[in-house]
Formats: sequence, structure tokens, C-alpha cells
Amino acid sequence: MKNIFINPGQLNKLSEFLSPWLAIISFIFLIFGLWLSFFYSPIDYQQGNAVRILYIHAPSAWLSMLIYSFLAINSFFGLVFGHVTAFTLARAAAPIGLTFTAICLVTGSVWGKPMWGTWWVWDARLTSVLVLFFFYIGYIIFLKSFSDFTKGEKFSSILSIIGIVNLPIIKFSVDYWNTLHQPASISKFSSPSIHIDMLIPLIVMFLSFLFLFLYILILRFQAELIIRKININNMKFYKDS
Amino acid sequence: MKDYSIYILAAYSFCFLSLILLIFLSKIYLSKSEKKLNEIDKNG
Amino acid sequence: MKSIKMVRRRKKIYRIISLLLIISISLFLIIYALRDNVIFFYSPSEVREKVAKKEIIDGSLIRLGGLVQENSFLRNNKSQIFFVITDYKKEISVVYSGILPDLFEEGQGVIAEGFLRINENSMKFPEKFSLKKNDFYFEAQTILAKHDENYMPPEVADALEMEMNDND
Repeated sequence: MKNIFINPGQLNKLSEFLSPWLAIISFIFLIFGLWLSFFYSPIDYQQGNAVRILYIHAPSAWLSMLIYSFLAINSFFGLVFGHVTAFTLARAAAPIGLTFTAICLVTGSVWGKPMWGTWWVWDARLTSVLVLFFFYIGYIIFLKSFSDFTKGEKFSSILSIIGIVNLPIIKFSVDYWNTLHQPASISKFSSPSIHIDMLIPLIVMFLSFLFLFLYILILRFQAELIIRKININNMKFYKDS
Repeated sequence: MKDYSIYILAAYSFCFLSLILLIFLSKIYLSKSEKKLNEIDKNG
Repeated sequence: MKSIKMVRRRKKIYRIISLLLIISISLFLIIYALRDNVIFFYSPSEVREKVAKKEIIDGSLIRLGGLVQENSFLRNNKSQIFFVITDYKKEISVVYSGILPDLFEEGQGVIAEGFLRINENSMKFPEKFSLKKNDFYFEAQTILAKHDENYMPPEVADALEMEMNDND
């Protein structure tokens, strides 16, 4: 088991096997989730049918934070233990996290215009999510801005570990400060402040997005592994000549 | 209760278009890298 | 051989942990220093407190947030809108002319962005607001509705309200 995390070849083989399954599971959840969110879910007593935006907004927000933790943890293991797999997984995860953060920001904005009366405000929650977006961009730019790719990996890993302090700020911003953004509805498991008929589509959509993330992660992992091979080959070539 | 279909349509289409674009770009990335590797293998 | 590797690893871990510690401490200090600026809006009580301390004066641009007091909403023939923002301790009367967001309702959360003004008889509030001379009111430029974290279908909301009324 331990070998899987150290030896990228093993994970690569496993990912070839997993890839179609993840795609199928994600797709099934997606169809089911879309049906739930458009036909099964009742309208909200205040928001009307605008509540349906929640079913893509909240899962992508959760994923943007989950993927960032994944990125930072992998960067940590990459830095400390020098595992190629960890570095490659972090590399592969970054664009996916960036996309989910963008989706979270845009759908939130589209919800905010009719509900709050504004596209954007600079309150603590919205600003800290925007900072998360910039951390993703910074990570990707750092990766690509060194001719020696291992150097870029090191710097961007440090950046991503620094960015982890932003996650608790995002999570607790709505509780500590007065914000326009509402506090979390599902923070208490015993009695969430969201009706069960709205909770089910939310969770199904989250599962769909989660499997979609794993599918794209594996896809990009394979690509990044090949790119790494090419890069190492090039470096050897320059050293020899 | 007002109808917010336009906003819902905008949000969902942005979401799924960007996800589809991401998958598409990732697939291209993979196939390009595979092609490159094959070329290197042939030459070296 | 192995021990050198272990020592290096431990050094790296310590370095990363100390980096994180330094950054979180400095971030905490920054947030602590800016705590008044991170706050998006003031409640009516906070505004009155700050006026007493002269931190907010006549004409200050601030955001005022709270609940729209029940039965306080009024629209006059010049399409000016009047209502009271309350936090159940203190209240402040608000005047506004513009478009209201869809979630704006009595008893719901609201954030008003605009200027605090001292009433010097120039502003005519409707009688029921009983605004005293030299008391202050709020001249809103933008109104944002604040949504709460409750999501439920209308039938459930109606049932809950009925239950509440029964308990009264």
C-alpha cells in the first residue's frame, strides 16, 4: 500500500483502471443530481427558484477548499519526503481547484445580483474566497516560471503551504465578522437549517463533483507524469551535451 | 414569487461549460504529452 | 546514511511548521489590528456607541445592518422609502430612494450603505417615525438584502409560522 504513494508508476496503472469507473459514477450522480435540483427540489420560501443555484454553488465552494487542502498536503509531502507522486498530484489538482473556485465565485455572483441586490461586495467571505482564487493562480504561475522545473515545484509548494492559513479564514469568516454572506447551513449535523428536500440534491451534486474531480485529477496526473519524464529526459540531454 | 430562470440558466451554463472545457483541455494535454514522448522515444 | 536523511526531513518539517506559525501569527495580528475594517457593517447599537465616542460623525459614509422593523416600511408619493433598521436593542430610521432587492421584506435582514445625518429639520420623516430634532437618521445610497442560512419550501415556512403564532 505504501508503495502506491511513493511509486508513481503504480498509481498510474491504477488510474488507468479507475478512470472510466470514476467518469461513469460521476455522470450517474450528475444526471440524478440535475434531476433532483430541477424537478424534485421545492422552491424556497424567500428565494423562489433561485435556490437551485445553490446546488452548484455550495458543492463547488466545498470542493475548492477540499482541493486546496489536497494540494497543500501533497506539497508538504513532496517537500519533506521528495515523493514524485505527491508533487505530480499537486500539479494535477491545481487547475481543477482553480476552475471550481471560479465556478463558486461566478455562480455566487449570479445568485447575489437578484437576492442581495449586488454582484459583488468586499465582505470577509467573498474577499477570502477571491484570495483563494489568487493562491491557485499564484501556484500555477510559480510552477511555470522556472526553467528548472524542480525549483518551480519547490517554490510553488511553499506558496501553497502558506496559503493554507486562508482556509480557516474562509470557513469562519461568516461567524467572526459581520458579513453580507450568510453563515453555513449545514454546520450542525443534528438539525441543519436546510430542508431535507434541498439537502439531498446538494449532497448528490457534491458527490458528482467530487468524482468528477477525481476523474480529471487522474487524467491530469497521467499527463503530468509524462511531462515530468520528458523534462527529466531534456535535463539529461543538456547535461550530456 | 419572481422567476429567476435567466440567472439559473446563466449559473448552470457557466458551471458546466467551464467543467467541459477543463475536461477537454486535460484530454488534449494528455494526448499531446503522449505524442511528445513517442517522438522522443523514436529519436533517442 | 539513513539517519542523515531523517535529520534532513525533520529539519524540513520544522522549517515548514515555523513558517506556518510565523505567517499565522502575523496574519492574526494584522486581522486583529484591522478588526474594525474587516467588519462589513455596523449594527444600530454599534453606530450609536460610535457616535457617542465621536468615531462616526454627521456625514460619515458607513454600512448599517440589522433587521427591517415590522410595520415600519412606508413609501411616500415622491417614491421615497422609509423604514427602521433594528437589532432589537437600538433602532435607526432610514430614508432611501431607489430599487429594493427582491429579498427585502419586513422582519428580514438588510444592509444599508450611505451617510449618517443629524436631523436639523431639513428632513421630513413621516409622522409615525417620531424622529426628534438633532437625533440622527440614515440616508441610504444602496440597499442590500441579507439572506439568512435557512432554506425551506414555502409550505414548511407557513407551517412554522403557524406554529409560532400558536405558541404566542
